[in-house]
Amino acid sequence: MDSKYNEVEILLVEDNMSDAELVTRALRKVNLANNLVHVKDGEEALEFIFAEGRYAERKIKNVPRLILLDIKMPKVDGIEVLRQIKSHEATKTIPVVIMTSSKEELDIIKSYQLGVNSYVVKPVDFNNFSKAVSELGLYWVLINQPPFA
Amino acid sequence: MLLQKSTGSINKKAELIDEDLYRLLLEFKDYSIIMISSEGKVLTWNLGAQYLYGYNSDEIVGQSVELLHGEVELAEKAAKYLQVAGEVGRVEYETWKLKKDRSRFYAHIIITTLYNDDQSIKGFGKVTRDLTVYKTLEEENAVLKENLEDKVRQRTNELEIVNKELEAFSYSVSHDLRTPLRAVSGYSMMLKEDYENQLDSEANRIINNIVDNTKMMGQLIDDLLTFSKMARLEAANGFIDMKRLVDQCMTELLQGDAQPKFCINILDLPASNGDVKMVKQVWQNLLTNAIKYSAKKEKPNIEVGALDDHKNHIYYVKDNGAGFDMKYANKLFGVFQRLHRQDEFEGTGLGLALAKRIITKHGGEIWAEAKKDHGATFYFSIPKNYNNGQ
Repeated sequence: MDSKYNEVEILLVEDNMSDAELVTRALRKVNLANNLVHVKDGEEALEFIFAEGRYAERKIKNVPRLILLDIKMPKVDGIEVLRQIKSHEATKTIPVVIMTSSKEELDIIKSYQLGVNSYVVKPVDFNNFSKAVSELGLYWVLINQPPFA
Repeated sequence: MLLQKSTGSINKKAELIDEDLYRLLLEFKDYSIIMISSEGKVLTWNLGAQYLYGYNSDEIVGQSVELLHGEVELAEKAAKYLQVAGEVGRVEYETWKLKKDRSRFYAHIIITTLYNDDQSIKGFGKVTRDLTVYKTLEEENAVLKENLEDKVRQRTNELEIVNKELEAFSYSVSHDLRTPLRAVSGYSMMLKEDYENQLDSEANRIINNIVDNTKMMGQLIDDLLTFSKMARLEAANGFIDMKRLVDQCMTELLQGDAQPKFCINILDLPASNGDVKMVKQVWQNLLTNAIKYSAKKEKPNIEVGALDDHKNHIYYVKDNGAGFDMKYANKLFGVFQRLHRQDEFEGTGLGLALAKRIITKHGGEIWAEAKKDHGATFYFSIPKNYNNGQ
């Protein structure tokens, strides 16, 4: 198994390839895309985070510094991924930012109840979108002080 | 005999009347008219009683009136009514009774107590009318009404479900439209950023138009979302300090854009009850319009004020902007209806439709007066007794 999976700064969970490309591009511009891994649905996200299946070789304690999580995804949705992350001792301190097109009140309330660290509605406008992504990337990866070493 | 047969020549005429009356009562078919002794024995039995109960007078006269009731329960009830009649002089009631053949009929009964000269009870007159047909109709009506109400309830439920599905559908449509739109906007911008030097000015103009249109569509989707969301919400009932709300909206709207050329006059506004969030949306839409449509004037003027028609608080926003021809006034509040071209004034055609939806939820009305090129005034009312049915 590639050792790069143990040095991940940002885990991007996004089923839409275009959105993933936009996010990656925005993060690359502020030099935050070097240790970024993109997983394409909730199922793969859970395997990565809990070092199972495709990512069984990974060490679970090498947690990413930030998880960017989409809500609407096939198989396992973002809310379920969030629930599992926040209910396991080993993973519950990882900052999770929900990034979604949904302004649905219920999604927002549910996410906060499950302990999401931030909830961002993806702007349609590219400039606003890039700005939002790079700002939150910089904040969570460089400014925010996580509890782990 | 309770109907006295008087003797003596003086009473001859009275006697005749009595006899006629007696015969009339006996032969009267439509009502059961019987006499009962103070001990509860049947004394007279007319044709009406025979038809109604199914007993001949031979079978019943001289018998206890209890025979008529067939069942102990009914007999006890009837005895009680007789007792009450004895105490108060008269009793009237309706009840189901049994015929000789055990079939049921619904009876309207009046029992009148007859007294001796010394005020002791002589007996009772009992008049019974058959109301079975009416009662049956009444019961059938009640069942029909109940069925109808059931049906209405069922249809309402069905309608609510369809409505919810429709809302969920429009929500998810607007939601899912954003993702590809973001891609269109994003890739256009990437093209612009990465290849600007290789593209000529026409190519750049085209890219800018693509981006502008995605912005427009993004706004449209946002407005649609708000619109469909609003349909699902119930208007809350809270206290609204209108003056403060309008001041706040104005500050938010004019923030950033330094627009010193606007002359804005916010008059005194009475407080109202309503859903603050929703009513704020109405003000935002009306004020945004006033700013948008008057911005091209040399001296844009906006006035916000209130009127009072006893029943309603009426608020208005008046501008000296582009206005519109009143013959199109009926189109103003429709979804996607616009009275101006996109290149004149940008807009999605949902703002006023949303405002109307909100005001309707408050039991109020919204309307406008305008003259082309001479400004417009938008009014909305909220009933003073608005309390959301609480």
